[in-house]
Amino acid sequence: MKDEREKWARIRIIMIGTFFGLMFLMVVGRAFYLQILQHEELVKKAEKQHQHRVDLTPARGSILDRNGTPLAESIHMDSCYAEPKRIKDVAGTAAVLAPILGIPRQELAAKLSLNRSFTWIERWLPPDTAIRIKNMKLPGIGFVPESKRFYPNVETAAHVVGFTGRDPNGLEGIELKYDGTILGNTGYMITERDALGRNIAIKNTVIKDSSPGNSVVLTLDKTIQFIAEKELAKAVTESNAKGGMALVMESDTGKVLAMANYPTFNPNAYSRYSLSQLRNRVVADSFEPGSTFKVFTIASALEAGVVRPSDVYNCENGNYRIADRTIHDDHPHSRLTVSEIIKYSSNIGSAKIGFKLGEERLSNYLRNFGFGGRTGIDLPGESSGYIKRNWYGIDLATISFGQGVSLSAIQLVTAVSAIANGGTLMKPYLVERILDDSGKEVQRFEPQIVRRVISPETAQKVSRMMETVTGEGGTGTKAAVDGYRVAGKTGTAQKVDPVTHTYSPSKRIGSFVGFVPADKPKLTIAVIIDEPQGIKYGGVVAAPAFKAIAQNTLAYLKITPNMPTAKTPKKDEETDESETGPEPDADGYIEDPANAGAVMPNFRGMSMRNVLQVMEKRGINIRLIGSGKAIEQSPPPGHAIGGTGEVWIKFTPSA
Amino acid sequence: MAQARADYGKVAAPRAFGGAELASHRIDIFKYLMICMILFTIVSVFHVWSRFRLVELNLQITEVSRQLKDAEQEQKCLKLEAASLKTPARIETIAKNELGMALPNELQVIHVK
Repeated sequence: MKDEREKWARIRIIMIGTFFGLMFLMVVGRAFYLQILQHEELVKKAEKQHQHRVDLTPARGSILDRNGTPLAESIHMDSCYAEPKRIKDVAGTAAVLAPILGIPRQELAAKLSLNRSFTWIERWLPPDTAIRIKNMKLPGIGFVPESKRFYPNVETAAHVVGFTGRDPNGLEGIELKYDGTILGNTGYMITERDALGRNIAIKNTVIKDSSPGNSVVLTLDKTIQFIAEKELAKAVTESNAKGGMALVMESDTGKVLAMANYPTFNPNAYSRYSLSQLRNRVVADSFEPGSTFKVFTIASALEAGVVRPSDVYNCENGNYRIADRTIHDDHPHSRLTVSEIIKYSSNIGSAKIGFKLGEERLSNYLRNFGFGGRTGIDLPGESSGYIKRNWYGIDLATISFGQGVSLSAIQLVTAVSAIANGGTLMKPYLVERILDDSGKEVQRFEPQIVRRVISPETAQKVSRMMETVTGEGGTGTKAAVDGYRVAGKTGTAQKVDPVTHTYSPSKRIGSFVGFVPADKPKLTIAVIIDEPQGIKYGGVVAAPAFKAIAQNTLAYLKITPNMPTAKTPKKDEETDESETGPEPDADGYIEDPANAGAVMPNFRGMSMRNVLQVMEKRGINIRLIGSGKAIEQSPPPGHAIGGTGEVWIKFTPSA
Repeated sequence: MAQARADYGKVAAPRAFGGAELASHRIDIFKYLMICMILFTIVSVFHVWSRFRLVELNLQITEVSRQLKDAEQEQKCLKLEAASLKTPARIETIAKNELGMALPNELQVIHVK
């Protein structure tokens, strides 16, 4: 009995031992199978389940003006999509979403009923709309952040900045030319997620870094661009013209400060405009320059040494027959010096100078000025203009005064800048710097010399001649800017009729191109008005816009006049009652401060304008603190100005 | 019998297995095991707690990162809005139409060198 019990106990021990042993072996076997044999496959499967791929879309870089003001910026906005297969209550979902999105209910229901797994409902939703829909937690409705390009200055510099498509790839302007720089590269990140699908940050493993787009800093100045656009629009509207262009360039460097087209467009809604409105005509279109071209003929002749400024030409009283054609001058003259040929814009005089220079030399000089070839400005679609290879008949004569050649506005301004800066042709450019996403400079573009075209002496002679255009009796007097010497040239060119391929009797291009201040040029400005109605002369339609752009830009850039101004500021003459200071007190008030020498006048009670007038008259520099009426000054009235003490006046706003 | 008892005394009245000495040993082992188990439990609980805490903190980091991203986005939007409000065309329109201002004429501009 005892043995039997012992035996049974032993059997049980063996059975349980065997059971556990087998179980252990099974576990070990299974572990071997899973951990060793199936390892790779299962790891992949697990990663798929708890890892999440997040695409890292790089933010497109900004486009900034030279002062850092954004001209184009990207922000992320939510786009709403639907997964129709997951939506059970199509009618209900459509009824809820339709009023929020402003889409007709039937249209939305049709979208939600599509036999697709994905469809866009509305892209780039305003944040509040997106939040409202998100809060509803509708099944089958989702959101994805998408980058949207914004142009905060709307129409300002639209043609230069360009625009992007939905991708978002650049389609025009700087956006297109520098697309690779601005766009950056897409990357992705693998994140681990918990059972609820939430991302767990610590184990994020960036597999491929996205490189954010770089920002582009332009040479453009938003304020100068606005001035140019405003004055151009005014000139085009006043002359009932078809359109116009304006360009402001730094004469010495080739930096483009403003590039305006009219009519312009809103890059935030570019699809509403025709293709012709989207084209940057300043670089993409070429036109016959007309009389502005005479400057280059005469500069070439002076450089070649075939004429001198004082040489006199017979201008045939306005009619000059060459072969079977007759050349006319709008204002007939008998004899004119080379300088006067520019001043009065004589076609006959220019043609005769062209003949003296000869076809080959003129052609070479014109090509050296950059005509007939692209300037290389950093904008897409640049036109090279056109200069004939072989000249026949009266080509030499007509080209000498700007007919039979075509050029773009950027070529014209670049070539005039060469005269302004002493004879060096500079490469025009629009991008000054490239910054990375942290604002660090990656690349800087410096002014580039293309070639020397004419000598500084010739450039100076031509500059003096161009100054006569805006002087008394010249064709461009409306371009004269008070206080500054202005050199320029008017142009009125006939347009070729696209139907008849002959010069149109009524269609003209009026232009004015010049630089200011003529003695130390800073800015080269061109204004071109396309098909003005009524009076079509460049000196009438374009010169006033040139003047306004030059005047405002010079003031903005703080370039002070170097000539006496026509105005004579008189105390209180232009001020209203409120601005006139109270009657000065008896102690030391100087009635006419201009006669007071280096003695500090009594400024107390005077308005800032009065003080400024006195300062201008006396040529004294006083530090002005505050605004309103002068209440305190140093040194006191009647004391000598100079020494080490600072000269200042404190103002306080009048009640 | 008596002889047998004398001879096989240990068999007839065997001493308790282990005796007092062994019993004290058993208590030591038990104590040791208990300590080990408690330690093991504490370590296990701590491990689990730390894992939970880690996940929780990671979730917090994710949330803060999202908030940061949202704030950056908001900042970008505000900058954009500021830029659009500062456009010269808008300022000029407001100055002229709402504030009754006008551009200064040539006589009103005084250059001070």
